[in-house]
Amino acid sequence: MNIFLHELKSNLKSAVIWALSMLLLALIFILIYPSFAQGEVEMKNLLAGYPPQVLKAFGFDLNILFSPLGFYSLVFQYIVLCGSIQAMILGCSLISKEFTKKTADFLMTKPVSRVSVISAKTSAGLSSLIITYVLVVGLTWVLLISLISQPIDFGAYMKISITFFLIEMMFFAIGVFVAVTVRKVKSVTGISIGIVVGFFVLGLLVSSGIDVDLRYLVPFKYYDYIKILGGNGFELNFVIINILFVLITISVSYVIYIKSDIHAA
Amino acid sequence: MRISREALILNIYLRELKANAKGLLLWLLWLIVLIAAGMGKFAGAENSSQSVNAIMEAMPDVILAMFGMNGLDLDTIEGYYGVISFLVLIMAAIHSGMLGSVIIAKEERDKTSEFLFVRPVTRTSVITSKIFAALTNVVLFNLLSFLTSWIIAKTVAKGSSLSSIMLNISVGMLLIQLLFLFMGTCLASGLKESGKASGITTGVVLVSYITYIISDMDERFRFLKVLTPFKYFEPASIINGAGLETIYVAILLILTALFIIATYIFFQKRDLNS
Repeated sequence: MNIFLHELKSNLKSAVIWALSMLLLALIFILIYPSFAQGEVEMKNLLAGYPPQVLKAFGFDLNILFSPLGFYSLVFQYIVLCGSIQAMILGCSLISKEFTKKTADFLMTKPVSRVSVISAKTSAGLSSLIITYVLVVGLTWVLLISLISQPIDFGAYMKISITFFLIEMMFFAIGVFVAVTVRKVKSVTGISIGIVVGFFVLGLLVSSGIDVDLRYLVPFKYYDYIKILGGNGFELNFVIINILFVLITISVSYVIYIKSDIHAA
Repeated sequence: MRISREALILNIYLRELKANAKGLLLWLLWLIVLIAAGMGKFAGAENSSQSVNAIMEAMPDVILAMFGMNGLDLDTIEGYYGVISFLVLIMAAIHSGMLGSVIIAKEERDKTSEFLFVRPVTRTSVITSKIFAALTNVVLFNLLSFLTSWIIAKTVAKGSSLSSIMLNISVGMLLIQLLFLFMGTCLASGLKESGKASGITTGVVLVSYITYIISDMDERFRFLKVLTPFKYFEPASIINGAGLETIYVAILLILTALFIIATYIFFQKRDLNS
């Protein structure tokens, strides 16, 4: 419990700063929405000659795309990008800090088991992540309903927001895994941004239609928001991959951490 | 036996190259996979259907901006290269920013600075050899991305004349790489906690990228574009014939020069904690 509270306290400020930056981003996007919505008529005219089935086959419904949540689900990926970076940093920094600051051996002299050390650290990281998540999801909803005059479906908003957490968990798990395998991570922030943006860039290859097969490799592309908003729900196989990935990666990391030798400085 | 100063400088340079070799190899591997996965998929105009083209043309700017496709035509190899090279550019910026910070910061982190500075070399020459090692990495990254794209373009789209476009985009990319490389060295030398430099530099890259997207989405935010180097040499405008704009080349060169000077000054004055 001591380790947990210590870690939570040292991360609280950064959790709030992360939330504020993501909220700023959300605010800018919501301000852009009106000018985006103006394009609806033009696009509908341009595509008037095409039967709706063709558009559906292409993967989107114009009414959904131009709705407030349709737009939000598109720009939302940048908020997810930031959240995933935060998640990976949290997953990685708490454990690797012990190795870089040479306190691992100190911690080991205390009467706590390794399992409880790693558990305390991951749950502290997770709590910071959840604090930011709740602030962002809650306050973005407030921004949406106060700045956009159209009715917005709360249930649909929550469906989109849940995917945010699922994706964050994948990067959190990757962070924990990197920490227990690499140990002395040179620059947690740098490596986290590098890896998360790397996946994001692959995701751009998927969304531009250049390489759709990469979708399974890119957490950002697991959930098709236009389909979710259209009432098709989640694609179950991706939800399963997502959850299994998190469980397996975290379990493997536990095993590696428990079995690893902790060297003194 | 006395080792000459030159040999020692060369030694530091080689040691740095070796220390970064594994990381560089991983980056280059990733780079080749990205370029091959993207450009290798190019199939030419005859393969895309009419309705897809019509939909792409009608697509609002916001969406095209997000996909990195604004002003690019995916029916052409130039369009493909435009999309991919921008993705490479983002990664190149992160790579060089991290490299610049870590190469300076790691002596203190690994507590080797004391050891290094009892050797008969000045701080200036230590920095110089480190900078040359970092430059070698950055140039290799740039050259390899140029070569891989060029070879794949020649294979999938025979007879296309991409060379001058590729050259311009690569030069633009090098300027941006240098900017972030020296922003990294400058921060690592100037900050009290030099370990924070790489996080800040990569953070700046990320903010620049998001600023770039926002400035592309809405007229009212267009003014933001001067703030983001990613807007300076956009693949789309180079492909559409704009070339490298002198004013932006000048801005980047001046900023980079300032960062270099600041790196030397800060490092000279630095209290090396250990």
